[in-house]
Amino acid sequence: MYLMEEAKADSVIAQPDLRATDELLALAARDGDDAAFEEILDRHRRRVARIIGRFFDRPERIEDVLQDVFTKAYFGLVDYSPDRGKSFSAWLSRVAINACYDELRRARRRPEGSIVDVTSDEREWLGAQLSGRTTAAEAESMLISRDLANKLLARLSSDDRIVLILLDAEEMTVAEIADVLGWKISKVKVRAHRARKSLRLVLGEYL
Amino acid sequence: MKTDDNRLDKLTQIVARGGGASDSDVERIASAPFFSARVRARIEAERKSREAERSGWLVTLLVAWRAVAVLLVVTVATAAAYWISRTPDSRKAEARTSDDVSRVVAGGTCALSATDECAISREEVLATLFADEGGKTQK
Repeated sequence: MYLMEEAKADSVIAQPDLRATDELLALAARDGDDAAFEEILDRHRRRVARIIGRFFDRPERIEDVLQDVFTKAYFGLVDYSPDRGKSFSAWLSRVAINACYDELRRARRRPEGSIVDVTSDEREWLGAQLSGRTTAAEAESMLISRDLANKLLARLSSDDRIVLILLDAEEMTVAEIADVLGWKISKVKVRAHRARKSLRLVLGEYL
Repeated sequence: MKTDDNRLDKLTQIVARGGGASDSDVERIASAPFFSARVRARIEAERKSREAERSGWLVTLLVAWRAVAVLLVVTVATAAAYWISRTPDSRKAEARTSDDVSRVVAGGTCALSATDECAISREEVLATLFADEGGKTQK
């Protein structure tokens, strides 16, 4: 603890004349300033955890991916440059989303859940949504949807799933998704179309 | 039908938004007390793994470099041995080539050999014939 405080005293975050922006901290961490990296961790871990929490439901997996993201970020800092016009926050989100994508692909190779777990209550809930017995706003507020949504999303391929979540849950644009995943815009559009179609097919099995 | 499609689209959005972990789970994970220490440990493990990988490559390169050096020495030695063993023969061969006609006329080792070096050329055949005819004329 003392060592950490000593490190912080020597660090860029202790310098009063400099505003410790994320970019400045990133550059300091890149040059081996441990306290600057600690500060980055403190500032961003909640936001990154929320991103990861969009893709996975198991706490241990979220924690594992969260650690993985910051490890990748630490070693990837050598490639980070604020001059490229990208904020550190956006760069870190990109690292996080790509880590989630990698984990989704790995998870796809060793599936843990099964669609047979859909209960009769959940089927009923789905039917109620389609028949218009509830409005969309009410539907979203219903707690029953989380487990069901995870079961349904598990049926999609990792490509479909990532595009759908980034579009609908993270509300990113097609261009942003293309930039983050390193895909062409046309590929994102095609994949989004296929993802919706796939999910509709999955839903169709229960309606 | 169109209404059904719209509702189905809405439903897919709800599903996409509804998946994942609960906010309370995410908050609990993000504010875990030893999170920073765990990340540090992971970074150290990754650093060691990368160093081991790098040194593994270095060992492989060193072994490969030694193998290349040994092969080079063997190749040079073989070439030298071949050159040394070949030189006197080639001299003899050159000497034989300059005296083809006499060699054929006289018979010698090439009379029994089927090597390229001893292949009989047109000139040699003519020389043999002339030699034979010359002998008959003298008789």
